[in-house]
Amino acid sequence: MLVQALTAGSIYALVGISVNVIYRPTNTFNLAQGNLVMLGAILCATILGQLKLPWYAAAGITIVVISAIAWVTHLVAVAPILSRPGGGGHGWLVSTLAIGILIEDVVGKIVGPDPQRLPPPPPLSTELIALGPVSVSSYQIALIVGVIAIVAGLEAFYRSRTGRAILAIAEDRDASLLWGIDPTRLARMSFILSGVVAAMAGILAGPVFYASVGLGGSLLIKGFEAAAAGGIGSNRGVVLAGFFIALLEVMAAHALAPGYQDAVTFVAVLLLLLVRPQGLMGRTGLRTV
Amino acid sequence: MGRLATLVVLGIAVLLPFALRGEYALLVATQLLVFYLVVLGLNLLTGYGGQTSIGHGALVAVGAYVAALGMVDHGLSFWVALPLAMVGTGLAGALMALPTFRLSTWYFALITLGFARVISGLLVELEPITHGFSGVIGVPMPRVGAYEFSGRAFYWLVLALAFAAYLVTGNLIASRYGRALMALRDNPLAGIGAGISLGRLKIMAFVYSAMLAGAGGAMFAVQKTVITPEDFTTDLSIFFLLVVVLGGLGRKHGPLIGALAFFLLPELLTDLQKWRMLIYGAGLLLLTVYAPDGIAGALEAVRDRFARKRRPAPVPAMTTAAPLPRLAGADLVVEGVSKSFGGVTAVADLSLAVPAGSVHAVVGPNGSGKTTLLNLITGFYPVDQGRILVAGDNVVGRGATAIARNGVRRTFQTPKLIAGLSVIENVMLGAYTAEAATMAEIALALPRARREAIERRAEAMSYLRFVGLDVRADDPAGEIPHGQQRLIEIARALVGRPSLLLLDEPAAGLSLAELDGLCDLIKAIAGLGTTVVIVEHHLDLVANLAQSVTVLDRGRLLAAGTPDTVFNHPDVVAAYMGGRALNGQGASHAAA
Repeated sequence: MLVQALTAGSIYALVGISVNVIYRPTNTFNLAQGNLVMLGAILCATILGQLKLPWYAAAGITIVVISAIAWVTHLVAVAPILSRPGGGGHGWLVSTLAIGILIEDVVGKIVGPDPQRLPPPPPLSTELIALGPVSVSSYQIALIVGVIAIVAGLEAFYRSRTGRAILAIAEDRDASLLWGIDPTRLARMSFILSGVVAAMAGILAGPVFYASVGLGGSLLIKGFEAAAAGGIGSNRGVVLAGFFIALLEVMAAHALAPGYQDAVTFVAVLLLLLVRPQGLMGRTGLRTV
Repeated sequence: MGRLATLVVLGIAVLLPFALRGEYALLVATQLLVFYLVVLGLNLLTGYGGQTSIGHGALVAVGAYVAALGMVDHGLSFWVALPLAMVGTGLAGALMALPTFRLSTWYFALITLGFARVISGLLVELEPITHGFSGVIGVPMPRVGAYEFSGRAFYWLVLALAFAAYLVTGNLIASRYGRALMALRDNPLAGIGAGISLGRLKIMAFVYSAMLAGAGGAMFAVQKTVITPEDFTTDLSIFFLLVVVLGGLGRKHGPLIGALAFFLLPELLTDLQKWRMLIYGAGLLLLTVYAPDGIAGALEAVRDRFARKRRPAPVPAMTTAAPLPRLAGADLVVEGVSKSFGGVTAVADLSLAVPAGSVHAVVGPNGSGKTTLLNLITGFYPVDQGRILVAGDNVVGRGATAIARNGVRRTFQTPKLIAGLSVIENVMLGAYTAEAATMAEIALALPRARREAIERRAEAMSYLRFVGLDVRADDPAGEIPHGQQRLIEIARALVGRPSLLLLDEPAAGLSLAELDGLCDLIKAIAGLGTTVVIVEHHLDLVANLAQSVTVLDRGRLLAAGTPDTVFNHPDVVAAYMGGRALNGQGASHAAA
């Protein structure tokens, strides 16, 4: 049960992080994020099944394709709206939602509604082995380690020159313009980076979830819940919240019925936000006048 | 659209059933009205208030299930079930909106999306109550005695409800609530500065729009007679969003135009059923990127192009100007106030005292903490340490909204006007908290609300005249040049009858002629009796106006006193003439 929660939690945390990656420099979200994750899993499974490429090659191609879609999303659905005088309000909510609808529909028409199963990368396997009182597969262990590695990698990135520039525009868009940082370019990079994270989330989820296009919406919500509960901007908080949400889900499924999972986690996150609007590890933002 | 045009459209809608051939056409027309009800509420919330709801279909589901279960399982009459559905959906909406009280707008969108998923899950899961997948069967038609509202009669019933909702929504949008919603959408800080509680406003807007969705849901259930969870998928929520975006967000007639446009293409939609989501997605994307104002916005643009040529000359101002009421000034005392931003000290242990009814200036080089001080006094930033007394009351710890309601009003360094409102409506926003008429009175346009609306407009006009801009009263605020925007903002602050008025660099970017006007205006404002605190760079202006001056440097008090003594103070001269830089101590870079 715990292992199950850890596995699902890793995936939620990754989706939450991919949401975070975009939010920091642009103050926007990509509502197609859940669909990108699902597309990642489906695409990787299809490449493996149809083209018979090696696992890691298929994963590489998937990451490239998904981040290209994220780039196009920024190009057609986000940049034109943000460049309007006054920032175009929250039009990006609707336009990225539209991208998500398009992805879901097109992929659904091509692949069909059947869930796809992605095999784990060699030499790992999803077969359960007993480790004392818990049974766990080698893939599950690798998955949890992988997520922690991705978070560590991102933190290292944000300490680099480009990473610090991204954090700088998160603080103050106008000031960074004065320092010669181009917010649009960094926003584009962040969309691409979040596409990479989304694709990895999808590929990692593939062997443990049944990947179908319909799951995109629910993954988006879980990722958002993890990001909001953990604290927008705090990747460690998001990982923590992702695990909590998954644990709560497993407990709700046991105590009530699997159908109540979504309701229980949703209400829990709303209650948390009511008490602590900035999330578990988020900072309260300063209002700028 | 004038009253005549409204009556013509209503007349056509009333007579429509006689022109329609066959059951199916009547069904489609009824459904259009049901959806119009829902979209009307969504437009108030998303179009005017800027709060995007991606889960409106779920609210319709709540309304439909409450009404259907009430009638089928509990034997309620339609006339009880309909209000019950509206109240139930309103409550669901309130619960959903509550967590967003203190959160940004985008949380709201995702929470509505999550809510929609939870609801559609629960419709199936709560089988003992909702009958699960099989749904509710045999929802009866409304009856009065033996008479049954079916066919055309039901159409007229829905039409009556839709028309009532149109009138009520129109009244709300034309009122202080509508103005406040547009402030929430376009310039939330301006709303807070006017003392508007944006959290409460959001919840009110959401509850109202949920109630309309609930009414739509009840009508939907009756019309379909059978409802199942399948009727309320995410597609339905997306559909409502698309209709409101297509018609024109924040346009009074957007919902009707959007609904008509959608239903005039029913054939297209039945043929292309399997491409429906693709069309929705592409439509939403293209509209938001290329035509964010929808069909109504495009029609307005065409109308404006022709109207501009024969635009009437500005209406001359009313000549009988009633004298403005005297304002009771409050004294301001700042005691040992400190504020730092993540290690950078912006204001350190600052004290000052401003007697009631005087003009006090806060000057200092860039980054000396002037604007931070203003934000601390008005509650826009929380104070780290110290006390701030306005008329003897410590305001530290109160929110910006509460402080503004207590008569502390401000202007901003960059004027924050609501571009979608006219000049006079921007000024009226400042009197939001002064209105006594309740939401219900405004919604139904009862006498007190109507009287008050006229009084408010006259009052706003008198303050516009005071700042010399009454001729531009009906122009869109977005078309006003920068210098005049400041004056409008001052009028908006004054209409709130401040006891303490804080002006943040009112002279920035003004021409010399405008500067003279501003100087006279501030003198006149002080003449009304209010206490004025002015944050300014312009030393001549300050010397002319202020009875006392505080000079800040790097967040600390450098000098205080009358303008004469302060401006001859050696430290002040050094700070302004760059003596500090010559001494090699460097300039300050603290946050402004």
